Amino acid sequence: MATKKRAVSKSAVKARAKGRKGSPAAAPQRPEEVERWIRAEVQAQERIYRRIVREMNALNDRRLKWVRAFYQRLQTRGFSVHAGIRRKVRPEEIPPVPKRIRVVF
Amino acid sequence: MARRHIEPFVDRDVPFKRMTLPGFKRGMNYKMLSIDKDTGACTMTVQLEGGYRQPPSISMSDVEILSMKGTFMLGDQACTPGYYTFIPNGVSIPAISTARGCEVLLMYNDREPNIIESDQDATGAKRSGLIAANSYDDMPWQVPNLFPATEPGCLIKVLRMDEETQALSFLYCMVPGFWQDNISFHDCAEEAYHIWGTSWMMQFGNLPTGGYFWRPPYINHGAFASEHGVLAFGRTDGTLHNHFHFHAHTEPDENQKKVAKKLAKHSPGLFKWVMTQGHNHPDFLHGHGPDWVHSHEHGGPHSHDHDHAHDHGHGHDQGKGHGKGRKK
Repeated sequence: MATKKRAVSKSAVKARAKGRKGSPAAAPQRPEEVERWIRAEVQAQERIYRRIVREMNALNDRRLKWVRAFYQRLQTRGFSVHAGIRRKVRPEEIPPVPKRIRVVF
Repeated sequence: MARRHIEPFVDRDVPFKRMTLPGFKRGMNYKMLSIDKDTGACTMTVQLEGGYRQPPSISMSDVEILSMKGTFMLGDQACTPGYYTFIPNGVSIPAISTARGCEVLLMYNDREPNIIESDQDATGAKRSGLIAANSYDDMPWQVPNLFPATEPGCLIKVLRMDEETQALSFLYCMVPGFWQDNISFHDCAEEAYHIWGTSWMMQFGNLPTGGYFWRPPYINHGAFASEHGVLAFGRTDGTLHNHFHFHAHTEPDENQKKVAKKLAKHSPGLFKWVMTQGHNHPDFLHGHGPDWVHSHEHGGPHSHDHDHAHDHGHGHDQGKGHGKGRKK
């Protein structure tokens, strides 16, 4: 297959990639079909994000059990301080377990 | 905003889609793992069908490829699972082809997937930054030399470190039976894909083979465990420092404040300097070079004894608007 021999200047590459200099919000000049593709993928990602938030909220009760077990282990096996060094945490250092823990931001 | 917090996501739950962007040949399919809504920079699982051929090309973005299944040819180089390459913006790569098909992790770091047929580098392209290695066969596992470090049994192979930002690309593994009883967060975004195996995190539950996350800075993750072990690929967009604690309910802004407090304890001189400058536009963030810091009286008129110009009418937002920022 013949190969197009085309050297592309780096400045042109950068200008196209970054859009107008000094304006981070300025959208790069892209063909409409590329813009459409990005919009569709971003929308799909938004749907995935919302689904993840729902699933992670639904995991809350199990997570609270895991947190209680973790707080127990901190007092028996210890807190992982560094590379195998552990410290047993005193009961008064253990924070209260809230009703909900947000994990996706 | 760059990318959404996508965690956890399992690519095995979604089908491949045909790549339709201009320049890509038929036979390339992808699953989007995460995408930057402003730039289009993204991470994808990509399947190249048997018989796929792509002539020599350049991209207007830094690109990273990790081979995961099957074999593809990059010119004369057979790229088997574990083959990793970092291709700087504008550097020409040889023809890609695959006889029987393959799967790779494909990352465009600066903008949306793009390709231009060319067997010559773009003017000014940094070919010296090209990295190619078989990470499975040619690199040893190493104990992470971070302080504080993970529990023994988590090992890494560093594939790339950005000299300016200290962003990392790496393989990591957890041995069977690995556990770590702390909660961690970082000052950088972190991304990972499970090539094989399942790990557990107290916030998100199990992450199996094909599991993926893109996690912005300061978000709690851990405690950690893996019953049968894990092999994964990871990246950060800045220095990877483990901030360990055990408060399960803290949120990112709270964690960020903890780090500022730690900075005051760990690096009091630096903290004092940052807090007493009385302005928020240190010139080293403005592209004057890494070794140069300007100095002048901050009570008096703003003057410089060096030859440069920048507009002091503009508003600085603590370094976010200038310099080489996070770009993945």
